[in-house]
Amino acid sequence: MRRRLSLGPVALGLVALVLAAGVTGCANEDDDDLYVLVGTIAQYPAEQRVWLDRIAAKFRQRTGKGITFDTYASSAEEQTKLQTSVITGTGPDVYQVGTTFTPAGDAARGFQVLDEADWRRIGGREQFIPAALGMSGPDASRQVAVPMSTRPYGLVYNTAKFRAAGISAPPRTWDEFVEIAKRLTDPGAGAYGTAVAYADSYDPWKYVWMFALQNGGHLISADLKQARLDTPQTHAAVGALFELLTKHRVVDPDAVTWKAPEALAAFGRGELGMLGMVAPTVVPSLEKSAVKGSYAFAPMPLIPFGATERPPGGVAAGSITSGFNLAISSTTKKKDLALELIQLLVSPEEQKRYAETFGDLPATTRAAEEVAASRPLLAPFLAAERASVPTAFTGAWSDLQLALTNVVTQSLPALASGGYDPVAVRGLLTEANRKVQSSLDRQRR
Amino acid sequence: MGRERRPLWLMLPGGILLLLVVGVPFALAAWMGFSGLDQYSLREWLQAPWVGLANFVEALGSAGMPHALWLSVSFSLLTTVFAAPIGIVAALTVNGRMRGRALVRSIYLVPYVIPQFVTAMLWRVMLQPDGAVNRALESLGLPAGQWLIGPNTFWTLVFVDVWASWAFIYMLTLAGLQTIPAEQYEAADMDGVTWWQKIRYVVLPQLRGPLSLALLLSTLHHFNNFTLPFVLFGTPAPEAVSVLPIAIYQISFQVFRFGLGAAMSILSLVVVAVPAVLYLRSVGLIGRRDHEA
Repeated sequence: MRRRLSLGPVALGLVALVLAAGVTGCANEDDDDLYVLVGTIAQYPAEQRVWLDRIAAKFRQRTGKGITFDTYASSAEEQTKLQTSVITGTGPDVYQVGTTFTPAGDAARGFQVLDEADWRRIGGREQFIPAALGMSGPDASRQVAVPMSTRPYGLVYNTAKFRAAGISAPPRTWDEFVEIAKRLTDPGAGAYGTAVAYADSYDPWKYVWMFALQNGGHLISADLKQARLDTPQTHAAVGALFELLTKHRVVDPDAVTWKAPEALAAFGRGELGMLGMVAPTVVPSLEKSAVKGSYAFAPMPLIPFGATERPPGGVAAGSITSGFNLAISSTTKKKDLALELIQLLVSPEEQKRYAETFGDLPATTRAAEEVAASRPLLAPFLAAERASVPTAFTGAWSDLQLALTNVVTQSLPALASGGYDPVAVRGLLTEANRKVQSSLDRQRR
Repeated sequence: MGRERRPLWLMLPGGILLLLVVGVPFALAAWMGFSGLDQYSLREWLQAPWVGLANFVEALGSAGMPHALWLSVSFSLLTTVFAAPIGIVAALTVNGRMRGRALVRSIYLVPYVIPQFVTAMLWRVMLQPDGAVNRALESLGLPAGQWLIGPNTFWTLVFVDVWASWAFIYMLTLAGLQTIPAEQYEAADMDGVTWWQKIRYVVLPQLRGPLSLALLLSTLHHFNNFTLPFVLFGTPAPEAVSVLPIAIYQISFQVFRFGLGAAMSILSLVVVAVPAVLYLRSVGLIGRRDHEA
């Protein structure tokens, strides 16, 4: 009898091989390496590659171990990688995360809580700009992230336009801001006092946060239990943001569909007198633009509309505490190596080098002062960073960002028509408040 | 060959892969739909609280799924209705022999081969207030509009998806046309039928199978299209284009309510399964006994 070829075991073997290859392909190249997740710096891909190689080489010199870098290009990818790591117990040992994402990562219990010994190991808390520590954790007793770089927000203004209009200084109050913006607005010539990137995913909620806080309105209560998006201060804040366009008419109407880069491009073309909520990272773009050599920075105005001083409870909020943090994975078995890397990255030399290469400001006081001294143009940002105010450290913050952005998004058609309906905005804010409250309640449970 | 002698075990590798790639994730999604899994319970996801039907109730109520579902169904049906005649006519124009036919066929495929995110980016630029579309409209004496915000966004989405997808119907229709024997056209010519009669009595009856498949797949594809609205409008999307895939994405990956997102996905699957099952029954792939065996 002819022997039949038994294909069953062969096929099963092939499946096993394919699966094994897949699993092997997913593993680290070298299990001794430190696995580090960093954000892609789209503006400087070549420089980032060089920087990563340099850090890996210095780390090997110090520890004898290598680093496997992984990158994320968007906050969605950042979240996916962190959440996958939390579920599987594998993944990066160290995360470079945005400050506003740090609470979400902490809510998922993706990061290790840092103790006193950990802080001493990396050189102590004292080396950091105090405000930069504002997004390290919910309070000083529970911190999960180390500031790596800061990205304070401020105002950029066109010095040539200011000179031509006889304006000697940037605005300190929002009334001054509007007055200056009106003087610089000439729609017939395509010139506007300012622009707000109403369609951006970040700028609108930052403005609302700032306006509300300057009037004493916290978007989430200090005990992180109550959403406060339906308060008079929040209503007024959204109204103030819209009225720059609809009432004061100092915003380019096209800005209704702009995202932040489009607003920056308009400033770079010399069409705007001022642009708010910009970070030091805009400098390379402006240096290549038509306004090269005729722009300067200032902190955002800190006195609310219709006032000469902040009301009781008002906060001098111009910039959120922003930038990148370093956090150690809650599942890593290489905490010592992780701390060694963090110590390297917050050392004065590396802090300065990172700032000079990529435009963000250092998170450590000494390096930040040295950078500001060598580049006076950036000095206002250092002031903005020192006065920055942390956003509420809760996992519900991402809900809040989305909910507030949605309020603006759904109002865009009205804004494009030159007005807005306060009743409709009130309804949107009430719904936004419900969603954020739901998230806060789930966190408490 | 009798059923008992078929080497059914040869299906085992494929079956195992299918189980791993489809079965396990689906089972997990089904379980998640009944759990309160969110960012706060992610770490101990297996111990996420069991919430029964609460996610489904919320999905159909306060989470706004009925609105998103209505938008998705309207969008997918309308897009197919508009894309189908374009695809059919395009296929008819290049079915016969003519000079440059290969070139025209290649050009017809351009919208289909461009990655969807590129299509969306291009249209996003062209649909800006000062973009090419408004300039073209103004040059024709027509009013410019806001295409990326407000109620117009629904029609923007339909228009761009029709532009991107008619070529799919064209391809399947052309494939169907190629199977019609030339003799049938010749016989029709000898009978002296008109062009329309030829389409009506020769072509369309024989296109029923491939065209039905094209329409079904096209509609399902539009229903599940995430890339186009996501890149065109971003998130949160304008109310008029908060279609189901966008709503599920927001709930799952921006608000991190994985349980609710899974419940919405399961409900979405149920909706999508209805036309798919009807089609499979109509072509006899399910619901008929294998009496020939």
